Amino acid sequence: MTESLIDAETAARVGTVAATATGEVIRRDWQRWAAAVGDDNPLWFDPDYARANGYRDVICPPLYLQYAVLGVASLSSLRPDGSSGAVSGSLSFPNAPRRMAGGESTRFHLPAYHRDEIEMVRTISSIVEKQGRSGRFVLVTWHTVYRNQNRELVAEATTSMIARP
Amino acid sequence: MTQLFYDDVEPGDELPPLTVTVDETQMFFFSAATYNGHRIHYDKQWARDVEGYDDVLVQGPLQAALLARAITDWIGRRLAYVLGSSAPTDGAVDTLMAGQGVCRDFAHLGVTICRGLDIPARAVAVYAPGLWPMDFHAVFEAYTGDAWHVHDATRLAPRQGLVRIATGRDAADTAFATVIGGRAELRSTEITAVADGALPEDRWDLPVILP
Repeated sequence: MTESLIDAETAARVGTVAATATGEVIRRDWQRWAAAVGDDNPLWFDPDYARANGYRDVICPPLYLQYAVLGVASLSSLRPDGSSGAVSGSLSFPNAPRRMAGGESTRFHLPAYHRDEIEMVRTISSIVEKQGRSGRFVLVTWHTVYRNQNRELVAEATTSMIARP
Repeated sequence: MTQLFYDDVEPGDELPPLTVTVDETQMFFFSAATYNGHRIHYDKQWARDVEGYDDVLVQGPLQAALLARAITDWIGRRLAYVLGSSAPTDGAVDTLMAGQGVCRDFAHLGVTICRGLDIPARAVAVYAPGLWPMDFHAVFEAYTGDAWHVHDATRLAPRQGLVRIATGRDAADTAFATVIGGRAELRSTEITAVADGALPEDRWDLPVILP
């Protein structure tokens, strides 16, 4: 029996809140994101166009919402691989240090506008060890809920991460 | 602005492909825009020597955003490709106002806009490998830069694979059949044009000249 990639302390965190964060949705920030994606959808850029399509102003690209809540990471707080674990609960897998994005599945309920205040609550859904073609890995799945300043549900997401030895 | 609506699509419908070659500049800007310091996306030495990858990795969320873009680009196109949405006698203005049509309407609108800009333009009926059925697709050509360049506003099939059937002023010149009086029933027709090897990839931003 080989040693598990998941230690008991980390395994015990399943079902608990991994992180909460709040942040303001800023137009220029989402527009920089859209430009980096090459996404020139006028809903993100052109208020007249957005209004003609039933919104009161330009809206935040739904997939950008998850970045609006990110805080400020001091360089000394980063992990050796340069990543910040702040919004994911700083889970640590010393026997599986190589992380990468898994998948994401998000339901968007409401648009977010410039200067909306978003609160994120992220819960750990599961932490399991899997056997893949390239060997063992840890699959972490989170469930995340985003609400705005009126306590309205804006989005909920299921996100996963892979950590490999 | 018209767009595709929920009722217009069916499971199994095929989306036009979005082809993006992600380079390190785009990856850097995406990491910056998402406040992502993960070294596997910009530190080649770290990606190779510490994590054992061939090169820096394209961010998973960038791939997700590009997938989303493939859908929204398709939904938000100014014209929707809707089978049975138009009549053979519709003009370009009808198509523009309705915001939907079939390939013939897209080609007519393209021709009209070009002529409005004093660019010579003509309609072309083609076989279009990659399209199903692949016969009698309609595109248009505009005379720019000393050549007839082919354009396909539907982007349903790569232009490099098109085979010209007929060229004319509009679809009336290039129709495969015109019924003047009475009634004709098309029982069957089967023509197949295939590309040698893999279907060419059309990036849509480069000029293509049809033989």
